[in-house]
Amino acid sequence: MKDWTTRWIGLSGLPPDWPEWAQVSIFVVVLFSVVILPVCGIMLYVERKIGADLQARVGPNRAGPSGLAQPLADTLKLLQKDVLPGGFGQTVWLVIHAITVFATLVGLPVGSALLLLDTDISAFIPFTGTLALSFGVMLLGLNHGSPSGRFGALRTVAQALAGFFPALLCLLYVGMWAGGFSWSAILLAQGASPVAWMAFSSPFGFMAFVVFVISGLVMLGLPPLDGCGSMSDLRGGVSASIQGRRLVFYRVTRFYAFFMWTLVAVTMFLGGAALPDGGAEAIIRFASTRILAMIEMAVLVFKTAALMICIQIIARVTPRIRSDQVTDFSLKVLSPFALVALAGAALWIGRGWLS
Amino acid sequence: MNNSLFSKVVEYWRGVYRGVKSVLGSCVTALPYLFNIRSGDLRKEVTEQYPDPISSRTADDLPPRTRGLLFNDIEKCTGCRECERVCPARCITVDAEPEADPAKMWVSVFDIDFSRCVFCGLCVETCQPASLAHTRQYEGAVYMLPDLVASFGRGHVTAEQREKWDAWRKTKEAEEAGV
Repeated sequence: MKDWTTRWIGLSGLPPDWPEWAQVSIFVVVLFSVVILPVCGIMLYVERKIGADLQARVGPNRAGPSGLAQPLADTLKLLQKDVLPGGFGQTVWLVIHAITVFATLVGLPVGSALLLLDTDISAFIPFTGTLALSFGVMLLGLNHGSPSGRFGALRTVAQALAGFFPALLCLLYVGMWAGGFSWSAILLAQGASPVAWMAFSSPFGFMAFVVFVISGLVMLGLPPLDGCGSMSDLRGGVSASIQGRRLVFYRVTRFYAFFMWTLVAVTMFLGGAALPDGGAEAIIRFASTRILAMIEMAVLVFKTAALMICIQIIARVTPRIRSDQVTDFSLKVLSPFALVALAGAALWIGRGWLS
Repeated sequence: MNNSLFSKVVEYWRGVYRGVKSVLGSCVTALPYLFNIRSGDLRKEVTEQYPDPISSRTADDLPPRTRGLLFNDIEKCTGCRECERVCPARCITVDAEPEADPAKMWVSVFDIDFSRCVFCGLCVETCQPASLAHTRQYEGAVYMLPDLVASFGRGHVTAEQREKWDAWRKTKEAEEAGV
């Protein structure tokens, strides 16, 4: 543990004589509340404004200048509500989601200077996190105690399992191409220019990129493939039984999962936080490692936000399809394409075209 | 032929092509809205911020055949109950009794329940004395449901008033008989 924590604890600026667990916890909490939560609020606002523009509406315009404080107002409104006791299932759900959020946060690739957890299986951590999130949502739906909650729970898990297979194939593609599943290996295989990105280095890469992003939507049940949680026959579905602070947490974790998936897609296929050649060394020489970490994080968040906005535009203009159609689509269309991409990558590398 | 492997593969690819084409097509349709490229009325933002800025849409701007809230000119109303009969929502309640002049009717109750009214305009079309008409008033929000009932009636005739009218009629009849 010492090896991979010392590097970024030094960057956090905390007193080095504090116990290691305290530094790790504080750093993760600070990262969550300084980076994830503001990005969550801003992106929710941007999504609503884009949706309004696409539908020739105005969108949020009351709270603050042109509705900028709307996410804050929503959160404050939900926070002041009384929370009804939710039973054992909701407690388990809360624990699972909290653990998933904070555990996967450590495994995120936030740039070369701030690679928190860089092991040989780092790229698998978001996958397990996503599966754990859908497991928590399943418990939440089963805890609801109504047919709509139960069906929502089963559909959530069905979609997670259906989307898991093509996503895993795309991950294998990346691992095969980069020669490893650690973030540093994946980042090393790509460069700053778009041609060097995994998604544009070969036609199979682009195929794998598209399949990976779509299968993430399938796994997490995000629009427009959110048939597991939003169909009209579910009447609110799995989230119908939670309110107040828990609803805030539910929304934030769903958004966080979307953010995490997009960030992983950016890292694996769109070059991650790669700066132009020699840029990182120059920044370390003339400024400091902390500045480099901040710049890389900004680049990464910018790319992630751009990809998220693209996904949201497509989601806004595409009609929602049923949950069984989603699983069907995932298994019959996404999986073959992912397999073709994987086989193509194997041929490509086997024939030695990579070098 | 339809069950052959080849046709299934063709059908599969056609489905994939249609899916990609429909998603891209809807993106292309929607993107001008995103950047507010306005060509023609259909692409203009039509949402108005309703209560706050006094909207450009005043009562005078409304089309000539606007069906706003109903108004009954009780002086002209004959109490024939045609509107009550024709109303599909049964929102009009009329009660009429003989006036001092028995040939006319005293419309004591004329209630329109706007919570049930569908603003179809049948009552206005059928109104012979043209006392019932649509106004250009369209803001009918109230705080309590009973406030949506508009009463145009003159109120029930009291017993004293009835006696006065009877006396007046008798004197009039006596005058006419005397003449």
